[in-house]
Amino acid sequence: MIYFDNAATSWPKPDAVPEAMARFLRECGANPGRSGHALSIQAGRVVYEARERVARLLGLDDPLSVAFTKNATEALNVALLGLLAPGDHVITSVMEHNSVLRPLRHLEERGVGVTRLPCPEGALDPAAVARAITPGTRLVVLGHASNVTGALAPIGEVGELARARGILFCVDAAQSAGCLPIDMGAMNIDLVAFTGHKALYGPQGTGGLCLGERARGKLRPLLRGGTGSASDSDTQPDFLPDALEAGTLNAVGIAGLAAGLAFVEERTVEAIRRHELALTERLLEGLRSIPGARILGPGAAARRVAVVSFNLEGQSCSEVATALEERAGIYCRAGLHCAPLAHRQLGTFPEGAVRFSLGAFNTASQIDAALEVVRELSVSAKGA
Amino acid sequence: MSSCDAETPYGVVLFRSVQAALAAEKILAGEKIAHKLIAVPRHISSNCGFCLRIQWADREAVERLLPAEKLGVEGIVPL
Ligand SMILES: Cc1ncc(COP(=O)(O)O)c(C=O)c1O
Repeated sequence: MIYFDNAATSWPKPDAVPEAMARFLRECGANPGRSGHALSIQAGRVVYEARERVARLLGLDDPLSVAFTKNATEALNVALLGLLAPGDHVITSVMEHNSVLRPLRHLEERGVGVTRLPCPEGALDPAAVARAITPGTRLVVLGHASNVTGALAPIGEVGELARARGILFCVDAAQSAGCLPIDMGAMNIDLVAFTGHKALYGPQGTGGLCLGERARGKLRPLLRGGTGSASDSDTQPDFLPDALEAGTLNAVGIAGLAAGLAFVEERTVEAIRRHELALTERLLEGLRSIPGARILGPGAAARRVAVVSFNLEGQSCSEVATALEERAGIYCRAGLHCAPLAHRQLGTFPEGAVRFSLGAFNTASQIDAALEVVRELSVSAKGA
Repeated sequence: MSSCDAETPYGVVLFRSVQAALAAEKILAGEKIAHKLIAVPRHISSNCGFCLRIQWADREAVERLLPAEKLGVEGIVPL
């Protein structure tokens, strides 16, 4: 079996991840921070350690400004619905995932101005962001890397631009946290939404929102409820992380996430990036040599994460994905990848594309084996 | 997590957030200052979270070491 669906959820996980989760449940699975007894304190420490690891990985100055959520989608909703009010203007791009597009569509119906910048060939021009700024612009929100083409957005340039204009900058790091260096301070990023179950190698049900100094105190919470602190008041606390963390956290998931983060930290993001870059180059090169294969997105591997989508002439993407699985046990994802506007931009709507997405555990021989099958499929389509 | 001597008079550091108390715990552990996380005594506050019990004699050092604003330190009071 060859697993090429890491952009949906990474698999396998490092052994330390299920081990940490089992250990948490067996040895300290109490409510983190509710009770003050030893087990509750131990559970609280596990959660705090995960905050520290997230903050270190993403260049955030304060671990208490990491608010855990159940995934990147929830984090993006917390950021977008928490920050934007009728009359505000927000800039985004057509390459975004539905976890950005749908909350923005919802807000637009309630009086928020939304500019969705086109991205010819999937690439965003930072100058277009500058031109779209109006006096009411409150926020720019962009995906760091596209989950369709893998293409990197010009985060550095946009961050600088937004900071100079006093506009908050939110990055959807679902496809980049763990496999691309991120430094919120150096990159002028005010909010990062991350997910735990992709390149951080944690379990599903984990993710979070990191708030830089400028974003703190500006979000209306989505949920209100118990936080373990300030129990003498029936008003939601205004300090982090409690303000954005109503209800018992997924502490067992966060224990697993901490182990995933430790794996990334130990291997280093740079080494994981090098590994994935080499595999991506090999995959792109191989696909280019297959007649009838059309690759979406940038030609250079250096301008993408380890995500490569393609189509074979004369075949639907779902046929190709089914054949890949049936012939060779290759698991990938075909379709629109929750990014309808990106596929429209790329001319692949509504058909979609086949997506191979790689991770730290994939190997060059898996790439070669998959390319072999893709080549066979392209030949059989020609013969048909 | 060193416990204090039973004879020593204690103080407690109060925080607005449970997670900040855990952050403070790591700082004091790093500085080898005796401390223990305990549930907030009801006679001090009705907050249901944790506080850090310290030796009263260490309170000035603790005040210096903990960034009060960032950690939301609500006070250091005798136990
Ligand atoms: C770019 C991008 N943003 C957001 C998400 C949402 O992540 P999650 O499903 O963990 O909420 C995904 C993946 O599904 C994604 O690829």
